[in-house]
This record gives sequence, structure tokens and C-alpha cells, in this order.
Amino acid sequence: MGATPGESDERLFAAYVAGDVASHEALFRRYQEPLQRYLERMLGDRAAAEDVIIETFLRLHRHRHRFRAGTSVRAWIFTISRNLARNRLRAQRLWGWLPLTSADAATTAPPPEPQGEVRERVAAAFAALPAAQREVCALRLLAELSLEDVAVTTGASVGTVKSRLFYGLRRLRAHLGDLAPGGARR
Amino acid sequence: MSVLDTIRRASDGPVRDLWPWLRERLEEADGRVEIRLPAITWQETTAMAAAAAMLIVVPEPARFLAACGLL
Repeated sequence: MGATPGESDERLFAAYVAGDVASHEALFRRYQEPLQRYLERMLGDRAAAEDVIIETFLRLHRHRHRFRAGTSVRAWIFTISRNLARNRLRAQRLWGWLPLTSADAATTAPPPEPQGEVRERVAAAFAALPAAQREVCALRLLAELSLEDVAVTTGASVGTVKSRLFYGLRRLRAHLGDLAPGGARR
Repeated sequence: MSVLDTIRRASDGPVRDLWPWLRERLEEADGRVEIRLPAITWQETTAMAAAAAMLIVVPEPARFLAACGLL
């Protein structure tokens, strides 16, 4: 069975559980980029984000038969990656590890981009947010999850998610308003 | 351009193809045998706790078990 681009996550997941490798690949490719954007903001490190993506899909594979029909595959994937990212951050805090940057990143990272300064400022603005707001902003703005999926992923109510998003966005606008002349209120 | 557009554009970047890595790791994982012990029930937990308590509380556990006809 071949996976088509418009196929729903749930259909792809069902085909994958039934053993269809193409559906598995389609599901992975659909989520790799949003996960990367979310995890890079959470972990502040590209290599760590890639590790967590692989680990997320390994865990998904191990527990694929436990998926309950009627729940969101998207929220499930992001919940797994969120838990793994939190474990990693906790371990870093516990052991005082520093993220792998410099030498390792130089060998794997893509060539520098002209927008480097803007990227750094956006990264710094996210890093300055309280953890709960950073998480909600990354899930909603970068991974483009719905408010409901953000709520399921973070274990918070939709109201709490809206409030965190509101305050997070306000801080981001305050930090980055000058990068978007005339667009600070949008 | 809005702040949101700026954030999105600054967060977009070339993504490395991780699919071959994942397949490799999955093949490794599929070849591994996992041994899982069954979960301990509350009855078993109670029995173990009683046995441990008996060893501590009873002065001569062997004699006590023999007197109970369990040894």
C-alpha cells in the first residue's frame, strides 16, 4: 500500500501498525520538520533535537499497538517528544551538562545563513520566556498544533494554553518588535 | 512582515534527512529480545511483606515455621 500526501495521520498510523513501511516513512517525514522546530526551541540545540526525534519514533514504534483509536496521533507524537525533551533537560540540569554545540555542530549543521542575527535574536527571545510559555509558543507557532492538541500535549486546559500563549506572544513581540517594523501588533 | 512571520522564518532551516537513521535503529531494536517480567500483584506484595515481617518479628523463624507446619 502506498501512502498519499493527503492521507490523515490516523490512516497512516493504522497502515504503519499493519506493517506498511511507506506509511511509516510518510508519517515520519510529515512530523520531522515541526518536531525539529519545536525541539530546537525547547532544547536550544540541533543535535539534541535530532536525537529526540529519533527516540520519539523509536518509542512510538515500541508502543504502536497501544494507540487508542479516537485520540490524536499528532498529540501523541508531541507528548512523547515533550516527555523525552523534559527528561533530557532535567538530566542536563542535574549533571550540569552543556548542549553539544561548537565542534559537533560544525560538522553537522547546514552552512551559515544570511539571517543569522535574526535567528539568534529569535532564539534568545524564546530562551528568555518562562518554560511553560516557551513550550506553548513553540508548539503553537512553530509546530502549528491546534490549541486542543497543545492542551493534550502539555496536560493543561485550553484556557491555560490560551493564557500562556497570550503572555508568551506579548513578551516575544516586546523583544522582537523592532525586527518587524509596523508589524509588532500582529 | 509581522513578528510571527519573523519568528517562523527564523525557525525554518534545512532539515537533515533522519529517516535512514531511524530505519537503522528500528532494525537494531527489532532484532533485540526483550524480557519482561509480569507485574507483581497486591497479593504477592502482601505475601512478601508478611514473610519479611515474620523474619524480623519472630525470634526463631525456622522453629516458628516448623511449628506452623510450613517447614
